[in-house]
Amino acid sequence: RKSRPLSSPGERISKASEIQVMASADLQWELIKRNSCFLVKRGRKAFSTEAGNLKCRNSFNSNGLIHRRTVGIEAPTAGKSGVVLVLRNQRQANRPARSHSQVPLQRRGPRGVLGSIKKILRQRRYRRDLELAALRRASAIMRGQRKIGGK
Amino acid sequence: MTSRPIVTVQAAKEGEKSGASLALPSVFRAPIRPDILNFVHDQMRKNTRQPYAVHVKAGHQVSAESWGTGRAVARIPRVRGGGTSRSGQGAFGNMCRGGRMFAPTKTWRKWHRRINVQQRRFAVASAIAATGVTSLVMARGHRIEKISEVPLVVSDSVQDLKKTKEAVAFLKRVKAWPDIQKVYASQRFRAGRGKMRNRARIQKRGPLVIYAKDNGLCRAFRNIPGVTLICVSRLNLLKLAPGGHLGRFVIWSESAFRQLDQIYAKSKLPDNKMASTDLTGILRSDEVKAAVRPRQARQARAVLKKNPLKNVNVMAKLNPYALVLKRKAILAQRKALAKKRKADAPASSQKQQQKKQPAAKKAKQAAVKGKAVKK
Repeated sequence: RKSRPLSSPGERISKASEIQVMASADLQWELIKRNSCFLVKRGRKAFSTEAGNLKCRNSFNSNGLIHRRTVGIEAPTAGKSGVVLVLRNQRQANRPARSHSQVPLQRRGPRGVLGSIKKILRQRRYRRDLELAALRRASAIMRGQRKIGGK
Repeated sequence: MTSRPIVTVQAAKEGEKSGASLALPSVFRAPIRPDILNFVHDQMRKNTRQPYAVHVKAGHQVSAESWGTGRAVARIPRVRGGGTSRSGQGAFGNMCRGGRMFAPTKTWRKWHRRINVQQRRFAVASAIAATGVTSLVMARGHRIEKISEVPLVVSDSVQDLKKTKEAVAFLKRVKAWPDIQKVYASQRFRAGRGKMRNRARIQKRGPLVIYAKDNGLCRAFRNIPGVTLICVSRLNLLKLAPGGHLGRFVIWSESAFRQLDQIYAKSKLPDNKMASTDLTGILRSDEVKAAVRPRQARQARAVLKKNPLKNVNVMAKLNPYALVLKRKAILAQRKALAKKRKADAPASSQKQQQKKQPAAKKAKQAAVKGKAVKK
């Protein structure tokens, strides 16, 4: 992985075409971890209900708001099967309307969907640490779809 | 010195061209300090308080005197006289019915707080900086998933809006309407006595519209629930960070946005304690890597000892031949079992065969006999 050199005090590198997030993920985490509208404390555990959080856990790695890259797995609109993979556009952190791209996955059944998720994340080297969580979440969603289909 | 990111101005009205680019004011680089902000917010909130106190004479408008000792009653002052149930009752004490309370509240309590100017400015700068971070605004609860940019700057024609209908159309155009819908959904009655005290209805906060000049904008927006309006020359921390929580959703008019640089000249802004808050980046940077020893290979951790006599895998690690022996034993056992089964049940199986196909067998026997005879 590329390492970024320390910037000189007050210096921020930015291109005109690229808008950067103002505060780093670490700083945002410090601000959000105790207090956020998505924070739910139950059973001595802290959960977080924002969209890009695969494990719904209130933790730095799982958080769906603060990172440049987040992975979200969601159920598709009613009636469809499969899963929607939601990835965050790295360059569009400050543009909420454009900040997520949705990839609907439904062909070739559940195995195909899981395979697609793996492929997409691996090819792009995109949050590999979340790969297993993404697969699990997708499986859970599709398992729910299976029951309805089975009737 | 630094090149700053560009913010695009959105069109406020139909048919307007959006796309003027403004450099981000340096306020948005101010350190985000929730601790300072919270403190200042707390102090500021006290400044609109109206005093409350108990009446000065409350509990003392009675001439009561203690009966002293020797009368088999507590020594609390008692109401004098007779002819009424009140006479002889305890008075004055906080424990007495109709007595004065403990430490009667006074109007000269310190209601207001002064806050140092620098602290106030720091807090407001922090609050503004926080409004520029998408995740903070979302975490505060604003529904901004569809808006085109944070911070959201719109053209100055928004200041000329006169009708609420136009204001609504504007908010929908700019995709801020979901935040208002959130406010509608949150309208409810307050829990508790506030209901009786003219504070019955509560709702969430919606967007904050910051303008430079009001050409009708306030009247247009003021009836929309949740919307707050302030002038950029009078930025109010209580509006920028309601509840002491960073990250309100702010809609800036273009001139208001431009004025920020004048209001917050570089020299007035507080310094950041950390040049770069990107901890992950720092830890991965070349400078840190150069100073740090190479990563050690994963160290073997202590393994829980398992009993090889009970655990096949552990036994196999110690003595691979054990598997062979085990397999032999299993196969031998199976063979023995099979033999036993055969030996156990030959009679019953023969009977079954006769029952099943007597004709066939007899025919077979006959054929055999026939053959034998023939031969």
